[in-house]
Amino acid sequence: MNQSTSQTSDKSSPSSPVGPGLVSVLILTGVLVLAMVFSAGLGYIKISPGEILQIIAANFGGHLPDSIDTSYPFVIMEVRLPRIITAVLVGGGLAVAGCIFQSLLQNPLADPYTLGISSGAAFGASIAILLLIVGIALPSTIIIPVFAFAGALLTLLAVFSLAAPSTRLSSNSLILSGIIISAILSAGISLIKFLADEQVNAIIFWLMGSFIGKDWTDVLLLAALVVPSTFVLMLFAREMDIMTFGDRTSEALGIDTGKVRRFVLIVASLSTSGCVAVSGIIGFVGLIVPHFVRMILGPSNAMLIPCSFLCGCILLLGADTVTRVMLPTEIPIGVLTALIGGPLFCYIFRKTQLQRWR
Amino acid sequence: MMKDFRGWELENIDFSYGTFPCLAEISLTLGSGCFYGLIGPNGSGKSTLIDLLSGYLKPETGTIRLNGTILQSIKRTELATLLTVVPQRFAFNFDFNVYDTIMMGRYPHIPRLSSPSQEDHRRVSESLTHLDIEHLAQRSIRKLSGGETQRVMIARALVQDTEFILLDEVTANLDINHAIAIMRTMRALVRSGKTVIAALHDLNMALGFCDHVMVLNGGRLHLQGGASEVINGELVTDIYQVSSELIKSNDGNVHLSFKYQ
Repeated sequence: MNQSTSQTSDKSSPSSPVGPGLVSVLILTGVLVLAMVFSAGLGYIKISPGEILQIIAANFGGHLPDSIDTSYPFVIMEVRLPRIITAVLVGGGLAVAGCIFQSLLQNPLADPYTLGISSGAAFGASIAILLLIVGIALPSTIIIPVFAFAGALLTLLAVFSLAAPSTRLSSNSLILSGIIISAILSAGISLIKFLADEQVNAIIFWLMGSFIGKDWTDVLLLAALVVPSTFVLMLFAREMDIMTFGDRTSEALGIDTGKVRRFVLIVASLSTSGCVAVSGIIGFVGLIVPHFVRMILGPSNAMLIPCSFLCGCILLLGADTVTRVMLPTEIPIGVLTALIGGPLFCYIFRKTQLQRWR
Repeated sequence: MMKDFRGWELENIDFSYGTFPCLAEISLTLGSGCFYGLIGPNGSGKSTLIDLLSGYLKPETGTIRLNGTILQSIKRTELATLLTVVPQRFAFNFDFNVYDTIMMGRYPHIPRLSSPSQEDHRRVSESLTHLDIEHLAQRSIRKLSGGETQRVMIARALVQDTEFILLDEVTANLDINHAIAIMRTMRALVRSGKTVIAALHDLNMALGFCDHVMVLNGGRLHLQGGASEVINGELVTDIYQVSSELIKSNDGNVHLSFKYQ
């Protein structure tokens, strides 16, 4: 009898995503660090990884060797690193938000923009750009992200208010509210583009997303929003796993679905709002990365969230490095992620469909 | 309200979905250690009553008490250690495997930021064996038949290890072998002191396994009492407009035989 029990436990042992997941986290962290160093060395001025590490160490009080060109510290610390870290944090933030939205809205097609945050941010940014066009003297580096962030938050508030009669904030009412608000804001953006007349390019360029000219202020804003929110969201991994089974099952297991959904969506949306405010609208990262990680590591959020974060970081850093270094003209990052992400999503979708029918 | 009473006390419960009235004037006392059957035609309010008993829905008027406390005032986390529910419908959007799905039933017993203990794993393994789904442990929940899914969700409820178990038409997707096995399991749980309330369509299952039956019709409590006292040809004609007769077999068991022509 004992033998039989032990065989049973071996045969049906838990899938325990933590074992392979932890290895994946370590590998992905290593890849990310290498990719960041590699990316920082690439550009018009080539800088070796050794020199990059020496420059960073010098910045923390170490000695900068005389062999290193005096312009290199500026290139690394003031130009490339802020841009690289911005890309990394935006990629990670969007990928984590994608996991959350897909789990909580019980919809594998959901992404960080499902609740209309991108439209809200775009509307806010468009108003700011229009104000600049008509000659209101405001610093563009501050006013655009501030308006975008405010637009995203107001949209979130509107979506939650619209969905509020559903006490549990059901996924259907949230998604529908998001679609309605997005449609209204899209019309508003079209109107602003029309009003901007010949200077409409500034709005279109912002909408396509970019990391050009990002500095340490952007890094600080993102670090303050993306990093803590990712840790907070990881605390709700088990609840989110259970909530994919529906409200009845979740509540029978003791989860206050309405409260958890509201809190977790607000945290994920704040992080997304920060990402959009800093970089513009970058699509597909939040949709594809969670799918890709789920395909390899399974659906458990305990590992899905950290691995998606790291994969999102690597993906967007890679895309930004390609557009910054390898292409003859720097094309907007949102366009590049859509061009790469679209076909990749088709491949993943096709593969999962085939697996399901086998 | 009785002191130290364990179970549900429902007083004048009314419930509507918007303007559509679903349940009216339901008053019931459901003590512990009993196997209750909830029967009635489609749309009679069985699932809604299960949702009210589980605290998922809140009555419009009237009060529901569980173990003497107003149900809505009991914290969700505490309620999950007292009662479990196997709903009629489930949402499966992601490929969780069967083992992990059943392990979710231990959620109320695992402290935050802790991993499942050996005891949690032992209970999950036991329930896999008990419900004859060991071979499915690593399979995706989305790649199971309706009956297999139902057994997984019952296993999930069993590992939750609660005093009260609510089942909403759980034998509907099961073959007769597994349906009887589930009902026997529930019977054994009742013998060990647990309380089971099962919404059922199969009147013979209710007759064979339940101690007490409540009949809902048109959102009202039509009748209640011992299963063999309540379920008979007259009730079936009255509620379902189908002719039937109660047949007693040689071993003393009774069952309904329906007239199909």
